[in-house]
Amino acid sequence: MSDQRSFSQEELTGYLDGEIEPGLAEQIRAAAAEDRLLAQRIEDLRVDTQRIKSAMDTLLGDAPGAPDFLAEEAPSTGAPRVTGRYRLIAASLVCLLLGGLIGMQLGAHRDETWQEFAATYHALYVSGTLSHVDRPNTAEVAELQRVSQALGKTIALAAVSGIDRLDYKRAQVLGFEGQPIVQLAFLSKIGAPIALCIKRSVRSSHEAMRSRTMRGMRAVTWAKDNYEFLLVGGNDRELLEQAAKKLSAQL
Amino acid sequence: MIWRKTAQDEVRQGLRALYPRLWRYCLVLTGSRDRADDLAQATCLRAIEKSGQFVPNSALDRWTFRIAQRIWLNELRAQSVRQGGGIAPIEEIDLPDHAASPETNILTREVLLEVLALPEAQRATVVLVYVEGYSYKEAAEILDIPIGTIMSRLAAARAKLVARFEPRKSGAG
Repeated sequence: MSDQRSFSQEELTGYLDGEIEPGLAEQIRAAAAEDRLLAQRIEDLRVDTQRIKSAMDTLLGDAPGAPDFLAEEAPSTGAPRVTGRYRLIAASLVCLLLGGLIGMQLGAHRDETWQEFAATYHALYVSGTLSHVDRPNTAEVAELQRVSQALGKTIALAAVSGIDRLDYKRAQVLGFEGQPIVQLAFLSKIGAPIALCIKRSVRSSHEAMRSRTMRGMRAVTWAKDNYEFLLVGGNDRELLEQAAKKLSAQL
Repeated sequence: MIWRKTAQDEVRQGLRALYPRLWRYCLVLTGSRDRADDLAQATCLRAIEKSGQFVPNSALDRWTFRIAQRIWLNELRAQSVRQGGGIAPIEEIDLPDHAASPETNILTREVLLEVLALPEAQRATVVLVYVEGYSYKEAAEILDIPIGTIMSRLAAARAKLVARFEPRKSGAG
């Protein structure tokens, strides 16, 4: 018949999945517009993949809990379990406390920045710390109003709930050297706990975003106007950097 | 103060978060809940053993799925075929019954049955690409097969699923 190129089932599948190069995709689209049989072949391959995903996602709720050996480093002997990571956090907090008591006022933590303290605290968070949190909008809005007041800066629910790939969970007020810190807690799509901590600065400051590792987790720090920011948690550098940009713009 | 979590702690924590998706993938590979439990646990143990090889900040999920695939193919699969005389028929898998409407439950159940009834190679590929959302290239790396094979499997799976979901459509004659 014509000298039209024929397309394989694999190519048509790649076309439906957006996995072939644009040139070929355009060829197929144009050919299908003219060739009823080709158009039918494409329709005969068309499947509602979203429906498949939704159905398969119901199995996630059915999964058994993660095995015990993932929760601890050594088999339980009946003694209280303290994993290696928690031991180190406990030790570092003790050191900091002692350092604070010996020859210094408790409030003057000169060797540790507030972000390092906040990152240490965040290292205690696990998925289960936040995964059960699920409250109505009204409660979330009221909580954010409260923390906004403590911080002296408005944090709107719309600003924190619109971050791509992060689920907003809750806010709380912490403090450091007499300055309030607001901690906004999120869970990533794979369940990594991530926190945005905002502290009022003692002076007006501006510091460009810096991507780094803190306490074994990815972190981004920056300062804007009268506030200092720390976004910390998980292993996904790109996720954190994208989220930091969005949050900085919104807040 | 310089201190970071060990690679093992990172992998351990990541696996806890990943576990439901890992288990689901193991269910798709093995076709039975008991074997899924075994494979998922074996995978976690292997991942912890190999945690020194895990590149920090890289994709733990892909790395782990690849381990599961390898253990299944190289170790457990032959064993389960010998023991069970084949992969467990899908009807034996107790499908979840959620609080959605009965109509939704039935539809969900039908979709699950159709996907799980695909041949093993096709259903593993369907789950990696259409459920987990990996690209062809990522799925090819997890399964350790060429991209062309991914495409063939998906094409065959699509043809089968369309024939089952929408029998009116198939065969334009």
